[in-house]
Amino acid sequence: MSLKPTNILLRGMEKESSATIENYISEDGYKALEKALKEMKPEEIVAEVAKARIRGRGGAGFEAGRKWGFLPKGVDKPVYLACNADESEPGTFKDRHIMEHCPHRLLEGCLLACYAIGSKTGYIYVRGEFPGAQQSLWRAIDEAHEKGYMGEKILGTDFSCEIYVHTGAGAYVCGEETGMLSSIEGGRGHPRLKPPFPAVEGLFRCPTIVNNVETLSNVPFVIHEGADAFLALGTDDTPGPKLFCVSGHVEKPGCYEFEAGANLKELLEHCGGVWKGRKLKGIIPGGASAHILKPDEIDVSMDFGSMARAGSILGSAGMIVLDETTCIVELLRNALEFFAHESCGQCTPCREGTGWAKKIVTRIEAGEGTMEDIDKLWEVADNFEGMGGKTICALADAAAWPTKSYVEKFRDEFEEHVRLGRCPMKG
Amino acid sequence: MPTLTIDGREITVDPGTTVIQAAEELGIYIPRYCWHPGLKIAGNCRICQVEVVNPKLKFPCTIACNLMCGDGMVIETDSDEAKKARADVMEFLLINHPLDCPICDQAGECTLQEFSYEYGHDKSRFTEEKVHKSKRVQFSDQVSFDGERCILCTRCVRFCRDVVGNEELCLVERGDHEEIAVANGGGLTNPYSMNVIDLCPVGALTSSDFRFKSRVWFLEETPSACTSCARNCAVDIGTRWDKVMRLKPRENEHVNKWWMCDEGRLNYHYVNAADRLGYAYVQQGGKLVRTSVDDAVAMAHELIGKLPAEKLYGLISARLTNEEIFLAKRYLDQVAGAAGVGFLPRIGEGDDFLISADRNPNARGAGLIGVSAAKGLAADIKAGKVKGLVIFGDSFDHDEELMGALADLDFLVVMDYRLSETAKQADVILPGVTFAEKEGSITNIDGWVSKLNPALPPPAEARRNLDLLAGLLGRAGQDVPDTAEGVFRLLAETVSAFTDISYGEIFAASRQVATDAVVKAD
Amino acid sequence: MAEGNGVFPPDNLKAEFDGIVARYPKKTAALIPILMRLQEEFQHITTEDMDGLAAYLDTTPAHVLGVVTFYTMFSQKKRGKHHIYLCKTLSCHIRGAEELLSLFEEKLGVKAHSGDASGDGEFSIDTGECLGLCEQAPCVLVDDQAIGNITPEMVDQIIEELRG
Ligand SMILES: Cc1cc2nc3c(=O)[nH]c(=O)nc-3n(C[C@H](O)[C@H](O)[C@H](O)COP(=O)(O)O)c2cc1C
Ligand code: SF4
Ligand code: SF4
Ligand code: SF4
Ligand code: FES
Repeated sequence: MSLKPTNILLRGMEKESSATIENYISEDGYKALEKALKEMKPEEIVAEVAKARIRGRGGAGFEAGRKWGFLPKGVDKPVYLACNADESEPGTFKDRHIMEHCPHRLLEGCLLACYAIGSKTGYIYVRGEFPGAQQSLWRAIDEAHEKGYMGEKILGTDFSCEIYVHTGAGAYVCGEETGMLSSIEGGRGHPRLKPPFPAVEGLFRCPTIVNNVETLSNVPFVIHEGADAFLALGTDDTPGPKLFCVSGHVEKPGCYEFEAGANLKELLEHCGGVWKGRKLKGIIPGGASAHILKPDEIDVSMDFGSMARAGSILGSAGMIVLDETTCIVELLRNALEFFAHESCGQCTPCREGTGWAKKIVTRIEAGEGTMEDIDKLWEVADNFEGMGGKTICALADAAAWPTKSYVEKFRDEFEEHVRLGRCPMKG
Repeated sequence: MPTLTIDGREITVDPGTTVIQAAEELGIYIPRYCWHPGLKIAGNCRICQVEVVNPKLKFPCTIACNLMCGDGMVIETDSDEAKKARADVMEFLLINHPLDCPICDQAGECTLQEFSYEYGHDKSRFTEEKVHKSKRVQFSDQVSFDGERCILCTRCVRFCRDVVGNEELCLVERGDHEEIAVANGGGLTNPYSMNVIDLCPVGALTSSDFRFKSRVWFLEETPSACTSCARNCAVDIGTRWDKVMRLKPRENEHVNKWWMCDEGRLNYHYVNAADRLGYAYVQQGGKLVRTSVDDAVAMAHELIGKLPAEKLYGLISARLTNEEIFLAKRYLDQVAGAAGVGFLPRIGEGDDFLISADRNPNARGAGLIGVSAAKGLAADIKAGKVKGLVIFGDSFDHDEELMGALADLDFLVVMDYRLSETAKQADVILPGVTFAEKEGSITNIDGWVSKLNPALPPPAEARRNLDLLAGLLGRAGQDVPDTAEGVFRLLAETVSAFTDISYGEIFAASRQVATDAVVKAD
Repeated sequence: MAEGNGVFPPDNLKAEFDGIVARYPKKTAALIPILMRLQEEFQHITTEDMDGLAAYLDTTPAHVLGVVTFYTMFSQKKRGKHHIYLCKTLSCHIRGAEELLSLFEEKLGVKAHSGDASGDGEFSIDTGECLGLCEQAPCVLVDDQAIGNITPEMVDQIIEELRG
């Protein structure tokens, strides 16, 4: 059994009162903050987090401690923390669970991060479609102020810090870290050229650390229990607990917490398997951006390295289960409608290419495509993919991966649409 | 200082130099749409793809405009990888473009047309319906916008926001519906707005002033300078059919960088206007009668000579060139012995970017040559202290006081390019030229010397101002050189501020030069 | 102004907006949170409000327009008192979002993305990209309420409850 449940990130979630500060404190909440402020220096926090090798849970898997270490030393500017709670990758809802049910864990993580990086201000960028999470966080912020965990001279120390919720307003690309920074500054959510990276020049042109909600929610555990306790969980590639979002054609969709590296196949079984007793067609394992996996490819460990070796990504760990009745062409049309709609429009290849690919697949779905269109679809996607070379951010890659992998793995289904001049799945 | 290799050639550059700039230093041109040396880097068009030679990279191509030169870097601008990446981007740029070059104003100056020919795929694979966007939107009286031609490089947006400091243009919507727009009920109002037309690499922003007047490839361009204020922005004068069709800014690092103001840009219609002086006139029985230029010059000289010198005043316009001012002053001082010379000051509103409050283009030059602002002239005429007035290159039609004083003069001689109300009062009118018809130098507020070049011949019998002035001096037996260059040499010998400047330098580099004496210390 | 008194911010929102501005080192950063409040309060963002907001935050009307048109939760046309976002992205799509959309449109008598509100001004509807409620697919977000696991049978009831 490779599914090892953990009870860290969503601890106490089953309780009605899980979001209250009383409940959080009763579960050793804010102990890490107290320990950090009273016993540890900021560098020691950074070192402990680095030792724990918390890989970024926003999708890219970059180690948080290393990122914090990139902050320029001796710069006479404020440092900011920007917590990425945009959670708009289709199929992903783990951060919402944390914010709605365990907001104090995130706040404690933010406060620890601020202390470690020398920041007095943190913004949690919550997408506009999450009013519940925003309200939950604001309530928690008020509670933390009342109890002296936030504000001036926290717990009687010299550390002062404010955390604010900043609302998004409907734009997937604001989940990209620099798009998010543009949005916090009150602009269109345009991702920025890198370099400079946010750690050097981010929010308001000051050094800024960007981390995902789940990433930061791991920090209290690492500080309270120590990096070794964290390293004892998960895999060597991806230590620690991990939230998995399961949705689609599955009996028991939901947000599940296991040690990182959970086996995808077992996870599916744990969730009751494919709904209605149907057969599995495939799984999109890491949010809509991920390359699709076929049924014979799902016996894989859900950590960053194993997923990459399996030809996909762990991404946001948003797993969308597809049953045998799913039309892959329709699915790609839906995905490309999403990406074309969400392209911020800056870069020529992404702006024009996602729209083009969407039009091609729409035609194929309608039975008006040709065999050449299938190759063209793949090539167009291949032409806008490019890991930062072709585009400013990875949204274009996120659109290219499903496109290329669906065409590669389900080519016969595309061809069937062309041959029949209609969708074979719909009578 | 990093040393890198581009297309097999080594170059050492200053830290912070980008690959696109380093390549340019080597004479290697990397195509670009969004990048412009005067704007912040946006890196959005993605056309400037180059290959970074490094076997470890899965995707070796990246954009040159945001790539900082690194020591030991090896760049290929023309490898198969780079060419393919560029062609891919080009294809994306063109899929939703209307490709209406035959009716587009930009044709001939369009980098989309140019690069697609050089770097594109052979034929289009795009068979879908194109995205439709706004067409023929007036951003202002002068600037119109075609959303379908726009490639969203954001040069125009960045210019207004970052260079002028007025974010009047914005992007609206997103993805392939993104467009450039002005605010609801707003418009492009900044005094530099028309630079966006030059910046626009395609025909999306066009000038209502120039639109459809001429295809650009029929235009002849003459490097010159704007004479509408004391900044002297470097321009190209575009001409066709003996008319000025447009002024466009020309790069000059010291004076105007890449820009000019709208007022200066549009201030050329007077060159083509109907009130231009094509002939010399003399006053006869209350009427202006046409005469030959030589006769008019002779008569002017004679009139001037008859008056006691202490009653003579000379207005030398600070719109004239250094050379013209120099000869005019020489004539008035040495030949006529005028009691005073001065120029008419012109003050308007200035800003801290380009527009100078001093609307005389050559007030600085005039000052260096020894002509300062005229003071109390109307009163002096009224008081009978001035009985004869010679005006070189100016008029004061709207100055009621001066106009009213003219009746008290014994005579008035005017050299100008148009038949102004002032000129109509003259006893002798000498037909001169505008900035567009002459050669010469002017000195801007900061002391940079620029050169004007003739884009057009003088109309009808009109003559270059220098010829008219030489004619007057000739009447008194003074021989002066008959070229602007010759006069400049004479000037440089006489006026110390110009001593170290060679005329050839101003001309050859199309660059302003200055000596310490001329350039302000700050 | 949305409610036409010509002052920005409106009196009843001034203190709140000043509070939002105070969270940031630069005023413009308050733009999106304030626009969200305006949208909520008045169901649309008017040109007058954009101008007023630009002056209030030391930016330009064009900048504000660029932002308003970038984010899908802002509308320049007046939405219904209750605005429904119906998720149409992958997980919801494969669990029947399209069918729900037609049902909602039919029952409310208003089309998604038309920018229109129902005749009584009560409702408007748009499809939205993934709402992050995928475990409850198909789902909608109405005002600040998430409703999940929607079956066609529930549509009438949802509308009735919103009518109140
Ligand atoms: C198109 C796009 C969308 C993204 N969306 C999110 C998101 O919704 N939430 C998130 O945490 N990271 C998202 N990311 C990743 C962020 O850019 C960034 O890597 C992350 O927030 C860093 O935090 P982490 O290191 O803690 O994961 C997105 C990236 C891209 C390219
Ligand atoms: S890749 Fe797409 S979403 Fe990302 S910056 Fe470029 S255009 Fe915008
Ligand atoms: S109008 Fe011209 S300058 Fe402006 S974004 Fe479009 S193509 Fe670029
Ligand atoms: S700033 Fe002065 S010199 Fe430059 S274009 Fe304008 S008027 Fe002409
Ligand atoms: S010129 Fe480099 S990306 Fe546009």
